[in-house]
Amino acid sequence: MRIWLPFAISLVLGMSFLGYYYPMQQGRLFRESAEKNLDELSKVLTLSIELSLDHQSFEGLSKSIDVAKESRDFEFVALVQHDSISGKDFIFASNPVKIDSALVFTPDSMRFIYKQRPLRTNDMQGYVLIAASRDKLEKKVLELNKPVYIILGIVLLLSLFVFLGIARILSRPVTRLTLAANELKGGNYSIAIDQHSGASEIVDLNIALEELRDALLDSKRRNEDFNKQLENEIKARTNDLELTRLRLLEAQEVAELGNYEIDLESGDWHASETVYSIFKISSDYPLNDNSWKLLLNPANTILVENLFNDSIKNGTSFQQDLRITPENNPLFERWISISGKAIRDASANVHVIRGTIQDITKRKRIENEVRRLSLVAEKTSNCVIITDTSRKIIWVNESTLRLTEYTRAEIIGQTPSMFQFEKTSEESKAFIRKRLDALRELKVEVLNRTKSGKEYWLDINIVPLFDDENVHIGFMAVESDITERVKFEQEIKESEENFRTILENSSEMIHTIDNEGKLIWANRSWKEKLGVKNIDVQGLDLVQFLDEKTLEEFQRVMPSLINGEIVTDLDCVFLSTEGSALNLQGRAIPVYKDNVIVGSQAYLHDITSIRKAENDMRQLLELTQHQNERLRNFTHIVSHNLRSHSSNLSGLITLLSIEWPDFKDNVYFANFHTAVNNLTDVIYNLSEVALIQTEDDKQFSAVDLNVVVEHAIASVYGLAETAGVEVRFPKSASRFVKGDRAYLDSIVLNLLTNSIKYKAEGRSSFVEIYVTQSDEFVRLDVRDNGLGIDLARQGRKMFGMYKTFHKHPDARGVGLFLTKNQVEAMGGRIEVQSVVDEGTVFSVFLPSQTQTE
Amino acid sequence: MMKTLKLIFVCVVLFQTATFAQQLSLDGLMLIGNKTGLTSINRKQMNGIFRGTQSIWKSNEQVVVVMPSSKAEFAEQFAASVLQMSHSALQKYWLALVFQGRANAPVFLNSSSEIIEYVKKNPGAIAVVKAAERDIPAGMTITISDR
Repeated sequence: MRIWLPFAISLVLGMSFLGYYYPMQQGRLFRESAEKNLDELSKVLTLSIELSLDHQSFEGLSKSIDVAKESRDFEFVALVQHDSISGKDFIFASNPVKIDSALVFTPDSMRFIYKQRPLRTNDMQGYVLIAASRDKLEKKVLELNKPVYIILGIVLLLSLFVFLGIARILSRPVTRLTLAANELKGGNYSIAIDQHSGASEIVDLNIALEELRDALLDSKRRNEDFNKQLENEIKARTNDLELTRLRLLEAQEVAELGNYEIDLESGDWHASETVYSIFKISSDYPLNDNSWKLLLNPANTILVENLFNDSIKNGTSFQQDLRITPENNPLFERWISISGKAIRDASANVHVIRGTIQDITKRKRIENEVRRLSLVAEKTSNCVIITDTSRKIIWVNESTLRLTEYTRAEIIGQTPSMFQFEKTSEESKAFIRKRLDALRELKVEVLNRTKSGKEYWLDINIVPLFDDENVHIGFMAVESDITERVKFEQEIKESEENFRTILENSSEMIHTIDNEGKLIWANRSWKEKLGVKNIDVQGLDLVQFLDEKTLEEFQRVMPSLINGEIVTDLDCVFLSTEGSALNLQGRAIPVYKDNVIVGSQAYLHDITSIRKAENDMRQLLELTQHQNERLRNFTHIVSHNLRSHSSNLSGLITLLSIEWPDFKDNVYFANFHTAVNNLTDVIYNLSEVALIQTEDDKQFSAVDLNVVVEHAIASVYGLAETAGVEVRFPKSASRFVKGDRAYLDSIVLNLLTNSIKYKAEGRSSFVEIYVTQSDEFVRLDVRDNGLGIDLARQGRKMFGMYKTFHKHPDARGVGLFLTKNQVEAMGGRIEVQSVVDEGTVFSVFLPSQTQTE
Repeated sequence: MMKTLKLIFVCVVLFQTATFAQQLSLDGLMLIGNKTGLTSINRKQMNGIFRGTQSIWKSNEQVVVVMPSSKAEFAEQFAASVLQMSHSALQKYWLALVFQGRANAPVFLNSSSEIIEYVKKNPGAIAVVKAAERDIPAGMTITISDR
């Protein structure tokens, strides 16, 4: 504030007051004067009227009226007459002539100043009312005051100008000193502070400024020193601060703790690098109102939004552990702990939320691990007992209660010795005590007893427990119920004894050798057969019992055994001490000890006698094959030679009957002729059969069975027509069989003629033929409704040689025998189903073959 | 019938006028004035002057109305003859005119001689005096014509 300003303000205020007070007083006086004038005028008017009426002098009235009208604030004057008869007042005359009577009888004091005078003359009673306009009066006052305002304004302005001029002159030294002070303020302490005025105050100020300059110079020097010290101090503190910041960052990084701030108006997140690291996102990932949700799964997004909203609404802080699986990275799953609070400003408005995000995946894993371990401890089938340092039980799990049959209340506070009894090994007890006294871990198997007296074996592992300060706080025992295992071990032991006895007494030769080929053990049979019955074989070389060829085999299989392979095809010759050779067959397996192969064990069966029998059998087989070949040759010779002779005999008889026709009538001749024909047929049939059975190397080819059937039907057409038998053969796809065309023709023709031959009389006969596929066979069914065969009685000899089942003149019992042999020669089979007087079905199954095979 | 009634009405009016002229002349009053060249005015003009409706002569000279005061012996006669009202009503009439500023203030004098003297001294003045007054200067009398 300028020093002259109060004076200027005082001047302005004084002039303003004057400008207000003087016109106001003048106005007031003017109004009072005007009112007085009006009052006087009313008096004059009343008097003039009285003079006019009582003395007929109107001159005064006229002048009075003129005077009234000359007044600028004059509004109207009314002469009101009182009618004594009606008692009412009325306007007798007014000036101006026309006025609002309401203004007369209901005065408006706000607008007008009224003056009223009573009028009493001989001819008229009433009053004179004169009114002046307040507006006009105020205008008049304003006009009156206008010069005052103008003059006061001019005076004020002039005063101000003069005042400002004086103030400027007076303040010049002060201004210069101020400039000097500003220079000092700007740090320029070398300026000269001149004396600009002789006024004692200014001189004092000059001196004070000079002293101040000197003091400032001194202070500057001291400040520079101090600043240097401060600078050094700040540098040191800054370094400390930076170090602290780095440590904090490191701590945050180690703790995987990051901080964030959300600008609620823009929705932007500002987060530390650790937050980006926690979410495995790059530092340029735009964290904003929407993108952060992609880092969480939808359920967590809603939860976090609710936390934010609650905090904004209630001003409370929040903390929540979340398992996150971001939508943009489903494989990324971890736990975070998010905490924060909506920050309110001075107006209680919330603009930001600040907080921290920590990766607590490891902690959660540990917690889960602890929870799981707790659960395991509680729910495990093992018994878990925790004692204090005095070995009093303070906690047991459910398995302990279940196994011991005690309640928790019965156990807590007791020592584990409550489960022991007289059979519990004293040695074990002493061992436990000794180890526990020494605070050493121990493992022991003990026999305990349940509440009901049931005995059980426990495998106990006891560990001393220590707190973080390594102070002993108790013991924890993990006990496995090994009752079954102990029983099993006992059984195993017994079983092992049994097996050992079995192996010892087995007729098999069993030996165990180490990886060097030295005998470890051999059973009794082994020793007896190799002539070392009464000798301890342990340490002997096995190779001394092997012949030369077996030694080679031994050297071949040993590496396999050492590598853990099982050798199953051992065929070897062992030499006994007595010099005899033993043919042995068997297998050898590796022997393990602690998962390491330490040798092998062989199980050998003495096949010396079997090998001998095999040799005998081989010789016999060779002999049989030789004889068989000779027999086949014989059969061939017989069949051919006998057919030649029988044909010769038949021809001779025919010639004889032609030469001597009388012989036909001779009974002996006729019988002879029949016997020769029968012999010829027999020989023919025999040769056919022999041919089929001896043609082992016959070559078969693909034959379409449908073609064969069609050919057979055509062949028997005449016979079927004559017999009145309908032959049906539904057309089907080609079915190729692997066979001989001649055999197939014979088979189909034979079955077809049989069906025609053995038709039933008295009903229309038919034969149906079907060719179908049945697995790897082509099936040929020949079905008729003929006489049928009693299979129960004749089934066994159905396909026998010379077996007939009907008294048909053509039945000779050879056809089915041949058919069966032909079918089987081609690798097939034949089946029959038949009911007497209903019909028969012959089913032939022949190997299927594609045409290209 | 209507014609007859109209004729009767006209006759009544004419009779009344004839009666008024007869009375003015009968009352023994005389109109005087100090206005050069003015020797005669009609009744309407006279009536307008004394009722204050004409305040200026044709020569732009102000009309000064002089009337007898209540003390004058012919005051009532004058009021009744000239203005057909009582003197009291005449006073109130002129009070109203002057109060309203519609007429110059009239001059009321107590006798015919005072009136004559006043008219003589004030050009533009006009008054009514008793016809029997002897001091009426020649040339001041104004006759009232019927036109």
